[in-house]
Formats: sequence, C-alpha cells, structure tokens
Amino acid sequence: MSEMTPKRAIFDALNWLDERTGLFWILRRSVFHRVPRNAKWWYVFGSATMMFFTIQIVTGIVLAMFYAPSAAQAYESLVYINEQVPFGWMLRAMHGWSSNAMCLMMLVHMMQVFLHGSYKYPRELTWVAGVFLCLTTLGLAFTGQIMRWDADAYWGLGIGAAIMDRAPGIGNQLRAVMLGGPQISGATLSRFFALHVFILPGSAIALIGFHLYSVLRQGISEMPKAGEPVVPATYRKEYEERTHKTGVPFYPDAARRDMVFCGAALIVLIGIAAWFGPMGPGELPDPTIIEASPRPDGLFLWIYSALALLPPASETFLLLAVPPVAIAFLAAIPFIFNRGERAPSQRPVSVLIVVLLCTAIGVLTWLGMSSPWGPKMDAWTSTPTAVQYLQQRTPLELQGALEFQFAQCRNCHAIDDAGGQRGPDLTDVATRLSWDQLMRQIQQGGGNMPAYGKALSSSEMQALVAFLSTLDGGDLAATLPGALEQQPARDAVPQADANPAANSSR
Amino acid sequence: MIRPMMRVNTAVALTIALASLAACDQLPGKPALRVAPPTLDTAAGFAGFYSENCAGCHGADGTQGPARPMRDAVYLAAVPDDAMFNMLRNGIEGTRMPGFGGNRITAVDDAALTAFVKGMRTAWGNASATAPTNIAWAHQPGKADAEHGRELFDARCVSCHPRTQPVGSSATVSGSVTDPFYLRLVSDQHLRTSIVFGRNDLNSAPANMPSAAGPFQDGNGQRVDGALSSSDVDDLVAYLSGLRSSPLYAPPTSAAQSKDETK
Repeated sequence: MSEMTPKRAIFDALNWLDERTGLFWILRRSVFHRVPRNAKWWYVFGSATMMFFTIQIVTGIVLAMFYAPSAAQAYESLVYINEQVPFGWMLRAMHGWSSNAMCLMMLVHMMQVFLHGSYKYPRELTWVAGVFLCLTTLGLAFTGQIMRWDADAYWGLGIGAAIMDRAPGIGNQLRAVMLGGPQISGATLSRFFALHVFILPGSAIALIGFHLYSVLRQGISEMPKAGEPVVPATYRKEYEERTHKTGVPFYPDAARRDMVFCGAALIVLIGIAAWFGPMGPGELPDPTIIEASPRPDGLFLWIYSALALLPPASETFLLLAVPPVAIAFLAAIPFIFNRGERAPSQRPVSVLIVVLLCTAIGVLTWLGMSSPWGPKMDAWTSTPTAVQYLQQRTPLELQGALEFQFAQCRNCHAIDDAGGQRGPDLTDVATRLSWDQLMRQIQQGGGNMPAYGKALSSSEMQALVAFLSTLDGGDLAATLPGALEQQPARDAVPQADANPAANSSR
Repeated sequence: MIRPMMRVNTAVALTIALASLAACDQLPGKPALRVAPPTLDTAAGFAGFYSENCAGCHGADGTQGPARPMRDAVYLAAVPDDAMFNMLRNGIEGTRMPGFGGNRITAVDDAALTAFVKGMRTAWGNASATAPTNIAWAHQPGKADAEHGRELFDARCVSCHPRTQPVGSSATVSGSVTDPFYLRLVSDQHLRTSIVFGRNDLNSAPANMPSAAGPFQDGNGQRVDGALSSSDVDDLVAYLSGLRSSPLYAPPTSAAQSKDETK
C-alpha cells in the first residue's frame, strides 16, 4: 500500500468523481477541443455576452436579497438599496448597465454570425437557439425595467397592455394574462418578478446550455472564404480534416482572446457603472399625471419611435402581425439559406440588410431620445414667451399671447425653440403667412394640425392672429398693428358670439 | 533582486486598491440621497411650482409675461389671501386664468395652494408696500357713470390708447383698449386691476402704463397730474365695459377675406 499524502488523497477523490460523472472528459472536450486557426477576434462577442449574463446572475441574486417584489414596497426597497446598502447603488448600476451590455454584445454576436453565414449547415439549430436566446434576453431587459416600478415602468406596462388589447377576439384575455387582472396592480409586479427571476433566467440557462453544446458538437465555424461554399454532403468531413490538421486547442489559443476581450469589457462596465450610476428609479407612478412622458430604456427606444411614427391606420396590423412573422423568419433563415457561399463579399444582400437595419434602428433610437412628435404637455403653463415678443405690443396682441398659452398652442409650437416640436416653430410665422392665412390655418387646421374654428370665439381668434402676425423673427421693430398692411383687425367687427361671457369657457 | 522589487510592487498595488476602495463612496455614479420636495411656502418650493404652472403666462420671473405681473409688491399687498387663493383654486371667470384646484383630475390640493400664496408673498411681497392711491382692488358691480368715464378716457387715456388706430402710421402708441375684440377677452376686474395698478414691466411706448396715481397724458400729449379717485376708476371701467358689446367699427370689407379663398 502506497503512502497516503494529501496530494494523493485529492487525486484519488477526483478520480473517484471522474469515474462516476465523466466530468474530466467533458472538461477536456470543451477546454482542449480543436478550433480553426483563423478563428480570431471576430469570435469573442458570444463569450462576452455570456460573461455579462454571468454578471447578471450574480448581481441579480444579491439584488433579490434586498428587493421587495410588492407594489407597495418595490420602489422603497430600491431607494433602500441605493442609499442604505453598502455599495448597493453600484450593484444596481452594474446590473442595469450589464443588461445593456449583454444585449449589445448579443446583437453584435448575432450580426457577426449572420454576416459570416455561420448559421448554415450544420449549425442550423445553434442559430435557432440563438434566436430564442435573443428573445429571452430582450424579455429579461424589458421585465427588468418593470422591476423599478416607477412611472416609466407603469406607463410601459400600460402601453404593453394596450397593444395586447388590440388582438382581435382574445385581446381582453391576453391583457388579463399579462397584467394578472384587468388593471396594473400588485399582481402585475408579482407576475413580472416571476418572469424576471425564475422563468426567463431559467430558459436562458437551458438555451445557453444547448447553444454551447451545439457549438462543441459542430465546432466553431471557420472564417468564411469566398469560393468555399458550404456543401452539406462533404462539409463535415472536410471541416474535421482541416481542424484536425491545422486547428489549435481552444485553450489557451482562442480562450486567451476571449479572456482579454471579456476583461476589457468588464473594466469598461465597472467604469460606466461607477460613473453613471444606477438607472432610476424615476418618478413614482401617478396615474393622474397625464403630463408624464414615459420613455423606455435606450434599448427599446427604437420600438417606441417606430410605434409613434406608424401611420395610425396600420398600427393594429403592424403591431400584431409583424413581430411573429419577423421572428419566424429569423428562425427560419438557416433552413432557407442552408448551403452556398458564406463570405460577406459573395452575399451583398445580407450585408445590405444588416446596414439598413443598423441605420434604421440607429435613427429611430436617436429620434426616440428627443421624441419630437410628441406634444410637450406642460409647455402651456411652464414655457414663457421670450420678452422681446411681448414688449411694445398692443393690449389685444398681449391677449393673443395669453391665448397662445391658454389654448395650448405652445404644447406643439415653439417660439424661439421654447415649446413643443410637433408643429412648426412660429418665431417668424408672420413672414410666412398672411393674416388671412393664419386665420384659415387656425380655423380649419391642416397638415397635422386640428381645426380650432369651433373651439375659439371670434375675439380669441382675432387676438391670436394679432399676436402671431407680430412674430417676424425679431428682425423688425414692433409697430402698431395698423402699421402692417395685412392686419385688418382694426376694420373687423366681432361676430355676434352667442354669449360673450362664455368666451373663456369651452 | 527580484524579491524586494515584487514586494514593492505588491505594496503599491495594495495601496492603490485600498485608496480606490475608500474613494468608491465618492464616485460620480453614486445617486444623491432622496430628499422630500420642498413645500410650496418655501422659496425653492414656490419657485418650482411657479415655473411649472404659472411662468407660461405670468412671465419667467413674475414679470414681462402676457398676463398680469405677479412680482408686484403693491398688487400683492392689496389683494387679500382668500381672494388670491380663490383665483388660484377656481380660476377667474371671463379671463384666461385657469383654476388649479377643485375637482380637476390634476388638481392641486387646497393646503398646497394656501402654501403657494404664502410662498409668493415671501418671495415677491412686501408688507409695507402701500398703493399710491387708496383704491380698493376688487371690482364691485354697481352704479357708475359711464359718460364721466368717457370724459376721463378722453382726458387721460386716449393719447396712448387711441380709439381708432392710425392705419399705416408708425406712431408709437400702446394700442387700443376700446377694441371690442380686446374687451371681450378681459373681465371688468382685469380692466380695473390694470387701471389701478398700471403695468410698468413691459417697456411699452412712449411710457409705461401708469397706476391710478398717474401721471397721465391728455389728448395732445401734455402731462396731466392728479390721481384717479375710486369712483373715477369705477366710471372708466363702466365706460369700457359698455363698449364690449357695441361694435365701434364698420363691418369688414369682403376684399380682405376673399383674397385667400380665390387661390
């Protein structure tokens, strides 16, 4: 019997374990499997996505120890984490920013796989799992936003519920399933909490397992070369021969690049989290504040813009039909384009699609940040008119300036960049429209502007136009209304309003 | 040779790690402690509420808006708390002043409005500010001599507020207040307030609108001293009020209106 040293004991124990589980065989297979020599920096994005997911799991578990998933306490518990828990704010910041980073890396990874045609035979199911991982990740990001339980979460849910409601026939039922009842309530938060911490992470782990298993089984795709199309009948044999001959073990060759990139990404993440801090929680939700302008987190801004800019008649169809069709198509891509060239240079349409999609999403995100299509609901009480447009004006023109606020023109129209951006800026409207044209535009509307003819009395209309016709961009000195040719107010007579006293109330 | 070097390196790394750990609590991302919003009777609370709800019409700093300037110690001293509260809560009938309290969906509760009135007095009021004349601020419907009001108007107002605007002229006057369009948009109280307190914030030409204390100008632009009396103000308001429903001008010519429609 040999001497029993500690080293020997550990070795024996590990052997015992390996004999029963095959653990070392799996580890050896995964760590030292041969990968193509030319698989270089393009291949790090998937690993980075997984690293961020690991960070999400770790920070998420710690956050769950402090977070109270009840409607009454969720918000308070977040404030508690921010203010009382040592480095709680950093934890929240890491979780929030890492979520964004994970989505970003995932999209880059997906784009790389698409551009390199890596989804073709025999990696179809790897791609399909990836598509479902993409949906799961976006689902995690969306449900994570709901956990903040602030005004943005509240209104985001409201919009989601309104979309569900549009489904023909089963809209009400769908909404009830989503909200856990007819309205947004404590049950809604519980539901999204379960999704965010159990269902979606569980699905993600299972899908990642399958995704990685597929990668190991099929091997990492080589860098695409023009003139080397995928032919299913011969591909596998050739791939195995090549990787056996010229491949390198995953560790340390390819793993080194993964580690360098992930390390750098982690440092950047910590820096961003430390610098920008946690996201929210924002304002407390208050259903009576109709001025709230809820806006989703950056990742979903493009959807928000697209929804805002859709022609109203097409909304229901596009909202309900496009996402399932798009997802089904995405998942079907490797089955439709199963073989042939992989190199981007031989697949210009694919490159064009990626460029167009990135441009569209980028532009929509940028629009979503400023959302110029939305009226600024509080501008009428909070945005004063610059003094130079009020000085040396007649009493009637001043009343017009007052009417401009009171009739909430300001919510859509800016003067000197102050006010809503939905309609044109009116700083120099008098140089563009005559008195009659102003009158007609207000009365009859046109473009996207509603008609105000029925809402304003003749006096209000006169005052408003009198004020607007002084807006000459500030270049001309203000003079009497009569001094400007196109101002017939002096000659007009008020129409017989049914009840002059009711002028102010409508 | 290598060992001491490594020890120094380790020490430096440890120091940096400890220092950065200590500095962690001052990182820029750390959210500020949440504090309760200031109440409306404090300067900050008042300013916040004012800029969100009032600045649009009453001007960014309480003056130079299209509506009555509120940064006016004399006016604030003249109007009692309950009247101010009522105007804020219910709005003012016949004007563009909306109510901010009551049963509206976004109503501000009465306590907050009371605090706001207090905040406004703290910010812009001055208890010792007294009106140059002792004329009551509130309009009381009752007997007044509109004919005397017309005479007063001719004697003291018309040089800045001509009845018929000199068409095509660039004469600097402040514009008509006898214009029925204008009169239909303002209440008698607005007319009274304008006459009693004047309006000196808008740099109107040729002079600012004086309070009831004067001085005024006669029809020839000559200075007229002497304050208006309480009944003078009543008469002026009665005169202007009477013009509201009686058009002064000839019916409009159709030329101006049909011009656009022929396009």
